Amino acid sequence: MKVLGIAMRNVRRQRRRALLLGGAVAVSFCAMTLMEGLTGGMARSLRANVEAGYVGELYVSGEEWREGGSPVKRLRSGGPALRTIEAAGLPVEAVVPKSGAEAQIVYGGRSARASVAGISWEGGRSAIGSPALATGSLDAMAAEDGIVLPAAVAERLGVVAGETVLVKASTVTGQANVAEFTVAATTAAKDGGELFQAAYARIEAVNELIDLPREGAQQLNVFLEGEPDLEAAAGRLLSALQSAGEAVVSREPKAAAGDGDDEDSGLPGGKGGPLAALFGGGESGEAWTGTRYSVATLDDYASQFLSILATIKAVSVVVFLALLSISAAGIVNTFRMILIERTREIGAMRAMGMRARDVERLFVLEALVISVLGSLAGLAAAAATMGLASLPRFGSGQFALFLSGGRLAFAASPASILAYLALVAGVSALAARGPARGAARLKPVDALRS
Amino acid sequence: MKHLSAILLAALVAAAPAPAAAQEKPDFAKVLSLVDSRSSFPDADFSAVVRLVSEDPERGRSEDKVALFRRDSMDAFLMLALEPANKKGQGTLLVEDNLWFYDPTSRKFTHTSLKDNYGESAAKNSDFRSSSKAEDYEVASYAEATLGKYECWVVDLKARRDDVTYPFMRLWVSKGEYLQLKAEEYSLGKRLLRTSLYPSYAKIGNKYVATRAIFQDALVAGKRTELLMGEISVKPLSDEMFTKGYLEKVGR
Repeated sequence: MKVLGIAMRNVRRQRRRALLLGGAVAVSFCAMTLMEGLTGGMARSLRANVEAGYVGELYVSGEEWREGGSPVKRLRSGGPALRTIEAAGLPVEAVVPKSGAEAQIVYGGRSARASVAGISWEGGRSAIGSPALATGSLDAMAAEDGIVLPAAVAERLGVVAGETVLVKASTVTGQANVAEFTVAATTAAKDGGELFQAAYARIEAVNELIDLPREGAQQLNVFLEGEPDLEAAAGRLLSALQSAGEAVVSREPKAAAGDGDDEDSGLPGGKGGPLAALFGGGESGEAWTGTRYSVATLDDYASQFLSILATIKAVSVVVFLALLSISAAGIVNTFRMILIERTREIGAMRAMGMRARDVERLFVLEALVISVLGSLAGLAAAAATMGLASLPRFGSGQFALFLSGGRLAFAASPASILAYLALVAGVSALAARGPARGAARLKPVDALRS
Repeated sequence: MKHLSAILLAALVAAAPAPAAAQEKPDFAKVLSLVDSRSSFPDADFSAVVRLVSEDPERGRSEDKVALFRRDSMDAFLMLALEPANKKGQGTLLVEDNLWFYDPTSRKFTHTSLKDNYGESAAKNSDFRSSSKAEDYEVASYAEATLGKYECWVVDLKARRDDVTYPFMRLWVSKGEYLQLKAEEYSLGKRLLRTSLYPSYAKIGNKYVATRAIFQDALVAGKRTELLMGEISVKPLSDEMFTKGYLEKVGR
């Protein structure tokens, strides 16, 4: 404790030098914390947006093979899917049946294409939560013919809440069908790719449009508690379905087949993605009997974006390490200078009985005090910057996928922050150790003579 | 090749010896087969240049010109875009039950569907294929009517299978020649989706080709496409034309 006190006093004594060194550490720590918080927050927002947009985190779809030689996307009512989900031992929060169609929405002389997802509504409430609305109210979804149109579609058609639109889509077997829907609400402008371009209607109305029984569904969407390993959860579901004797589509990546010139479905998540499974574009392959099940996860859609964030984070770690190396070089040089400046002082302390080990510890502690205080200052600066940066609302665009309520969200993991702090302290101690040993090796008589 | 205007067609209808029972109660299954066979070329290849003039309330007027090559014996066709310049080289190829769209800019093929519209027009990709009404539909009811100057059978059709795009169709078939003069296509909920008019035919040997067709979208008011077919030929076509490789070669 005595040595720590002397170290603190020495830092205070040479404030300017300590500020420069600590400032360098603070800048790198601040930058790293900001990147950690930004990528973490963006990943969390992305997952939340995908979960809300696609309704859930696991998507269990079924296809029946028809005599005509083509599959039909539908789940048997009372089939094993729901029972299997319930029995698979997953932390299930809710299971939402869903149907959907790629549709042409017509209003007056205008038309627009959109995915129409049918989900269950209790009055104005559904699994899509409370999106920001431009016109209307979700309460109007209590009516069976209600539809929530995405901003881009509503703007293109020039339609507002209360007006009637025609929705043309194919039935599950491929027949053309049309139904009238009343616009309950239009969402506020938010362009996040296909995710925010879907229209939402009651599942009963969508089932009627695509010629499914009213209580039917094409997909069971599962909300899970916490943040479980989705890949493992999907694997468990598929295994459980297989054990029940059902045909399943493996989630193992398939080797490229054919001449490779056939584009994929263009749907998010590719051929196996959550929308592909619901709206078409999924693989068909060989014929099978009964229903064949496939399980997609939120990460199938989000993985490409998450990998971008992981790359950004990796680059920021490299930058952080580079900055830390510069700080370490600064510490080495500074403490060499300190060693020269304080040679007589060290000699005096040694002459008064201070052990060589304590001299070494004193130097290391000084470096640790500077780096830890610098890190804490960097952390405080990062926290203030994150607080300010999360205030403004950003406009629409693909970037909206990474926003939470239109704002930047930050989520720095405490474990990561502690790890960075430990790294900074470790590197600083290591950098100061060379000069510290030099100081410890000084003979008191020689030091006093210098 | 002999082009017939609507007036000539009327004269032809009047002059042609009608089947004995046709004026009373014909066998409508045979009528549908006749409608199909009148415009199919199972023993010869078929090619033409097609002009599509489209009007759209949003996009205004546009014009496309495509070269159409058909080989009905293998249910294949190729449509090669000639105009406008930005679409030149784009191709739509039906082969082995697969319909491919080729974009020469990206040099990629994508799967498309006969149920889709051709570009932004009101014409469907299936409008360029040989007719298969007898296979797809059964007659639910019929009536007699006059369409302009022509005596017609008005036949209500119901799809035989649940994967036929239009579950219900109303067809105006000229008495005597059994040419399709008008068609109304309905959704599963029996809402009118599209009206097609065929006011002009050309006679090629013992076959008839609609040289003018008008497709009116019944949902999007004001959206219509007029199809004009010319340079019709039944000369043999190269086998290579019905391959993806040909589209790639032409696209270069």
